Amino acid sequence: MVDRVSTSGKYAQLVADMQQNLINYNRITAQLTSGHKVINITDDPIAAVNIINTNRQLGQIDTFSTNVEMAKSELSALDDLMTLATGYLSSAWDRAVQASNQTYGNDSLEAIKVEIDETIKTMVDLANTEYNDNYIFGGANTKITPYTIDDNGNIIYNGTPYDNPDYIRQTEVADGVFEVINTTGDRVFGYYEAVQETTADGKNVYTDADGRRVIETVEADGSKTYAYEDDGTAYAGDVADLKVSVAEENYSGVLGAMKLLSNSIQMILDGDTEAGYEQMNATLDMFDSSMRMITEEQTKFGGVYNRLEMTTSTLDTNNTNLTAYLSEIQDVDLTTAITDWYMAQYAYQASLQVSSASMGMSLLNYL
Amino acid sequence: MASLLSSLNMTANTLSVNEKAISVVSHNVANMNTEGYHKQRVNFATRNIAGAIGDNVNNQIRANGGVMIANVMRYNDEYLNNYYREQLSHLNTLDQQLDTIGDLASIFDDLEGEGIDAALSDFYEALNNLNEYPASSTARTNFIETAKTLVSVMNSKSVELEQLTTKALGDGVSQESLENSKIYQQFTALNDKLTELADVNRALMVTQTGTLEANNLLDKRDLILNDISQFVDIDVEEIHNGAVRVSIGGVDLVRGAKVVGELDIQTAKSYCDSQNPPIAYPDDWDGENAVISIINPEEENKVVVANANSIITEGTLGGLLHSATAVDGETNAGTAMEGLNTLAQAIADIFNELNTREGAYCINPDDTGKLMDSPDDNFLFVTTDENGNITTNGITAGNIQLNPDLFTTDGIWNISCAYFEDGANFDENAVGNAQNVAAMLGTRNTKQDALDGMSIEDYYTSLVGKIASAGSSLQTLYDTQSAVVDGIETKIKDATGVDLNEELVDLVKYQTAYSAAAQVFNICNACLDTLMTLGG
Repeated sequence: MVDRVSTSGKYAQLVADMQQNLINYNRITAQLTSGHKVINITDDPIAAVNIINTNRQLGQIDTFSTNVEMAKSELSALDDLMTLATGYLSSAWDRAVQASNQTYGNDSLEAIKVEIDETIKTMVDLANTEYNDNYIFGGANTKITPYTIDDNGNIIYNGTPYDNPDYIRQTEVADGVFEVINTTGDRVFGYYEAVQETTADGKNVYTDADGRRVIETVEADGSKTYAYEDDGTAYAGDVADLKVSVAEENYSGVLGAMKLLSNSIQMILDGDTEAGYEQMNATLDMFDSSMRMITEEQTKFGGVYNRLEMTTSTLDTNNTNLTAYLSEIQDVDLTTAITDWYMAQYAYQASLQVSSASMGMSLLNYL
Repeated sequence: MASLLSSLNMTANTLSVNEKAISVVSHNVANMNTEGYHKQRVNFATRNIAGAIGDNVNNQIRANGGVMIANVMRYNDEYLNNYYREQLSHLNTLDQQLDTIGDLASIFDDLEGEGIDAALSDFYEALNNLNEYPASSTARTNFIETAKTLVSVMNSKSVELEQLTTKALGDGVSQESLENSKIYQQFTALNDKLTELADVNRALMVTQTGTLEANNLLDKRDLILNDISQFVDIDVEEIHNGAVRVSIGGVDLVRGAKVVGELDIQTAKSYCDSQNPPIAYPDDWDGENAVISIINPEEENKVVVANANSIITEGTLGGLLHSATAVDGETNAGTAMEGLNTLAQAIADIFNELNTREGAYCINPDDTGKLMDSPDDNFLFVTTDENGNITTNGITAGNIQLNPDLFTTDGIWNISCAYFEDGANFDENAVGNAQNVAAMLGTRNTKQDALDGMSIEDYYTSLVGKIASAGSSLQTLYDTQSAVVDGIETKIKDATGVDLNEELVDLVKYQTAYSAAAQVFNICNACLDTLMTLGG
């Protein structure tokens, strides 16, 4: 019985063989029509996982590229602003050098002071520039104006100070690699603040035109009264004429230098010539160090910019390589596939032909 | 004279025997395409007439009775049949598993950038955007929307997975969903087959073997046994006249003419409730959604095996029953669901921890230019417990949701973007601080203990990889098994099927014998005529 072959067995075998050829033919046809080697994840698990991973990496590269482009454009804006700032700083420095020659009359000094005061305002506007709805020079305080000038002429920095390490804003430019893209206003522009003297119980101290000390008291209803410190008598003059008694001056950077320059000119104009020029000379060094500070920041961000340029090219290369790899594992190699398809077609046709020819063969034909 | 008459009788008998043989050939040819038909062959034997005693030649010649039909043999190979049924059961197990894994693979088919993988990528991209603009309401809204997409994709995948199980086994609670499940149809069909087999057994027991009728019944019996073995892996033992005993895991289902083990099915919940003491469902139940038991209809439906799931491991029933149970080392709907649930809980834990950790700050909704300490319950991903309370425990892919607080008017400000490692550096105006977002972004590459030391996305990809590998190796197993079964089937058909050439040869053989016998009849008749005219 082992070697017996029956007609029904032969039919079953023919059908199974034709079925197998048809499955093979259909599989290659589906690959060709879809253009993909892997149609279901179960077709090739390793390729499937690689496709998912590669697609994800390509997505990340897109994100990183966008981040890098945005960072580069913000850094360009930052650089432009710092270049503008150095321009204003240079011109103020020139004025400081001219004024410190002690050859200018009061009118000229007054004109320089006006110019410096205007430059301070321009510089503050510069430092308050917004980019993409964020204040560039506010550190992490991106939503509040970094610089305000109060009634007393203080140039107050409201941003995160440079010595607070949490001032940074960073963008992801590669897997887990973050690049810091901002600096702080106090680092680039500095500030100026004259701290008003207060009494032991916290009351503000002023001086009148004669230099007598006047103490300000805030009453329960919020109104303010002014009285002389020495004899307690009420101050009878105009409150607007009172000068703030300065306990100490806090300043740094170019804004500090310009404000001090302006103050020194005012001292000279007020007749305090010697102290005025002395302070003016001191500002010259400050201009120098401020200039160096800005240049240092520009250099630092120039370096970041260059790194980002390199990152762009790395990302481009990765993108090209990964796209090629994806195509390799996912896309059908047309030459091979079409050759295979023809072969599968021939095999299928052959099985059909042989089946149809052999199915009709029996002794019946010869009886 | 006596001899001539006996020859005449003998030839008449030969004609009749060959007629019957031709009729069997005709039966074979007629059934050559009938499923399960086994070729039958007439076996001839010499017919002896009593009286051939001693060595008297005359007596011996007188004892020659010609030919008779010894039996009608049915071509059969019991070993092949048993082997075929065993392999067929296994093929059906694989078929069922492949079906499930195919559905699973389509649920997890993320090749075209869809599904959970894409949702995770979008989620991280939104985080990236938030890192650039931590104080922007648009970036925050975008983040919440992508997080919403992520949870709803997870929810829908979980529902699809549940439906896969429900479609196979019912939901474990409702009788209606059980009755609409695949297993219910299978179990009903199997019980019908058991009854059919008992009926055929009964007929076989009263039919003489070696007859056409018995052979046809055996064909029917084998077909039913093949059908049954597609459902479950059975042991078959012949007991009498071709009637069989069929058992599964040592428990008899059919014994002769009686069905002694009928299958009964109930929902897991109803099974748990019926136990003594009752099992708390679903908390203490780690079995399948449907429980099959074996009852004996001959003894007033006495329960033979209360939970037969563990002995039904093969065939369509076995494949279906165990398609959704999470077993270590196997990948099926159950393990896929477990994987997704682990992922959901891990995502919730990771981002909730970051959003509420010490040093994390969200934005004060009353003054969006200021930061405020993130409250301890400022969770991003939560679920609702049975009492309707928001909780971060027991999060699954099916129940994970965004904290409803995020959808309130001020909800967008709840995302803690800022982080100060050193509290001394805190500045309430630092709404541009995105260091917490950077930490959230960092989770993309962080290996998580809760996720077997993989990152969130890697864990998911590994889950997809497992399903793909399982599907691929199952496909290979199925193809191999299919070839094995096809091979045995062809072998059985070759060994027992009808071969046209053989039948035609037999036909010519019987026709020739018939003609020859007729010729002998004529000669004998002529001889008799001659004898009759002798006296004339």
